[in-house]
Amino acid sequence: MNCRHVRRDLSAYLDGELEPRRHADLRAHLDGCAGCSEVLRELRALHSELRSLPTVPLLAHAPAAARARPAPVWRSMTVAAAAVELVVLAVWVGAGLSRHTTTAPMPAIATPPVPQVAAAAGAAPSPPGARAMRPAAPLRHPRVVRRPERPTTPPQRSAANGPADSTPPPHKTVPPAQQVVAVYEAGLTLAEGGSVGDALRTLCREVPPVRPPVEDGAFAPQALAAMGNLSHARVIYEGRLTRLTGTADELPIADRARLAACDKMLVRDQPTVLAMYLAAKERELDE
Amino acid sequence: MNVPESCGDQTTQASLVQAARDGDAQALGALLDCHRPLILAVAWRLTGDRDAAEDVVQEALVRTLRALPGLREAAAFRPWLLRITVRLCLSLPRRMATQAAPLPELTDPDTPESLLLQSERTRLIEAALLRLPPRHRVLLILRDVEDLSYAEMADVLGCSSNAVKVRLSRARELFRQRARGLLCEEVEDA
Repeated sequence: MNCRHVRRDLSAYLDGELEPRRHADLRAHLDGCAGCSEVLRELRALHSELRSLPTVPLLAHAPAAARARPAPVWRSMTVAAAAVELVVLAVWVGAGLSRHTTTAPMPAIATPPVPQVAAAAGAAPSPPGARAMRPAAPLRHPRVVRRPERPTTPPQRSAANGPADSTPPPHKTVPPAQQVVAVYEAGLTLAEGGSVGDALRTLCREVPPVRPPVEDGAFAPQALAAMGNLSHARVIYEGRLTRLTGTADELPIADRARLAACDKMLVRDQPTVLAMYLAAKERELDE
Repeated sequence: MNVPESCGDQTTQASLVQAARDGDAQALGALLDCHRPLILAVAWRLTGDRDAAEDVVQEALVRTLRALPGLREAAAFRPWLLRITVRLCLSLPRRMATQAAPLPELTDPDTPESLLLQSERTRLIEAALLRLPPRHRVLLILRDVEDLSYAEMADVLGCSSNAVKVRLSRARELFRQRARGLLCEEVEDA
């Protein structure tokens, strides 16, 4: 066994992945070779240092730290834009549904104050999809629905959110308008930097999980989560844009293209997914 | 590959995957939450850039969600998710060929981790790791940082355990030389 062969096997030796016989041969060589022993010592030290590297801080999952600092301007702008977009989508979809389910005309869903202010100030451009949609018809529902109070504390990341608590809540009847609010809330959670899991939990707080029949295949919650990812991605891209350059025009072409692609996906997927989601809920309510 | 505590044990994780596949949104949310930290950490170390890592994670989750119904074995979810993440990261240099790889800024300046990273040697180790070609870096991240076994790495990288052994040996030798060079430069500068 020469030094060249030994050096090739030192890595597996370090991990205890050598066959017993080869391990013994290598051990014997190391006892008489200072050069190979030194290489092994260095490899072992580096292995140990890599193992003890600090954990990468997961800023996206540190709500307490993140919220302690003032939110950057771009975030409030994009949150507002996302909120406007989601409200428009939600009302549009809800209106479409309500034409089939209710008859009594009622005022439109109460619009939360944040999007109104942002829209009036023209703080951030709304994605083209929101503008391209059908105008929102008044939502027909026997009462005005107000947006639920947002919790003042961040979602707890404890066992309560984990698998042990993943039992679906008891089935309850949820008015379509409240479902729209829940979807809006879930979108807002994402726009504010929450994870897809947070958004889904927000959604499930108001609306029981949808379990469509397999043969239906029209709706999958995966698609809903994918929709959430798209919203979140848009916020990230737009945030990067503002942080790096201040304006969209100065953004590198590749990033501009990604932003545009993101918008296209939002336009393409969100109405479909929302419509499928609410249609599935409507079926449940009919049953 | 150890399953994080937040995911429960292997059985719980498998039942979560099964429930998510069957359309349980809460199970899906829990599944994504418990795996996201791992894939973000791997993506961050592989790309050396937080924004790029966030993009990769988003894309990996979307791809995972779209393909989840086709996953045959629930136990294969984690290596499958890692494989998607690693492939996305390794494809980045080709997509972003004009962007130079920055030195790592892995910590939030407000966190205790940043103080730890000020340790000069740790900083150099991070730098040496980031200067490795991605195809070598991924082996060190999976084995030495994330503690995957050879068999798990083979699963993630789509090759045999023997190939992992050979490639890891090369990667470690290259890393040893790079780290040594950086440490020597530092001593000379001092």
